[in-house]
Amino acid sequence: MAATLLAEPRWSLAAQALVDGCIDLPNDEDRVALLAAICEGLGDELYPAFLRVLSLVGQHGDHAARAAVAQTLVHALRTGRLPSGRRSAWGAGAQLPSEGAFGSQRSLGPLEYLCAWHAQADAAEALTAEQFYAAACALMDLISASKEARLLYCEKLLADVNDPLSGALTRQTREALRALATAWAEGAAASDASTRFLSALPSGSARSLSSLLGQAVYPAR
Amino acid sequence: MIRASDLTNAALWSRPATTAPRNDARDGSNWFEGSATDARISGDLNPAARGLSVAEHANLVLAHLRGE
Repeated sequence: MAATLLAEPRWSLAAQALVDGCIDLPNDEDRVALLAAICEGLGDELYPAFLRVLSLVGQHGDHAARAAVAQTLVHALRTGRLPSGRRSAWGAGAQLPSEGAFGSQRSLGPLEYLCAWHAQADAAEALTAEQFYAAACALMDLISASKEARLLYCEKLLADVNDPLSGALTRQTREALRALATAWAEGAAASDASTRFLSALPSGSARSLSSLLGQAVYPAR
Repeated sequence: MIRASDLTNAALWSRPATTAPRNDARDGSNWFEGSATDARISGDLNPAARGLSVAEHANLVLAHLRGE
């Protein structure tokens, strides 16, 4: 039976509990296991709740809180166990995980999930540019609390975009993600890297974001 | 700052779960909305969370998010 979200999730308390776990547990293996246990407990349909919790830590965590989670992500990245959620492969429709045909689901890490959600979901179900921007910036701010986490994540993203056979991302999404990862790896702020992603998409994302921010968006590289 | 008393407040734990999964992962409009909060997430370990197992820590997180 799929998990359901509380009518009023206690987002901040969940974020604090995640940070507490990352600080209290004695080693990296246990901390990565904590992330996996949370994602498993939520299931694929509630994986976005995990993303929101991470984003809250990025937005409202002090440096020690963000660093504790980011350092956990370092070990997850090193060991290929980045906590992931499954989405339909592009072209496979918007099926629920339980409805998906064999092979139509692809696992995506937190940032890649947000990118696919904005760029590849049906319009009615997609994150808007503004929602993507806010969530991606908060997530990248969290990861950036560890320089190593940021570099490892950029390496992973660039490896992903060079792997068209995975089927997880369309060519356009991969190119936009490449723009994001390249900018981020070169030291761009999360806001700039997120804007690169939106600007590289052929849709109206960049115009929407430009209007929101009241500033020019970066051209695609 | 989240305090230990927040984590052990029985009233917080007894709120009902939604039966309809309004926050369908396929619908972007249901997520990342209304996230403005003045809460601070602290790196100071809550004493009540000290010495727990992986499963216990995970359950603490999930209890704030997930219904039955």
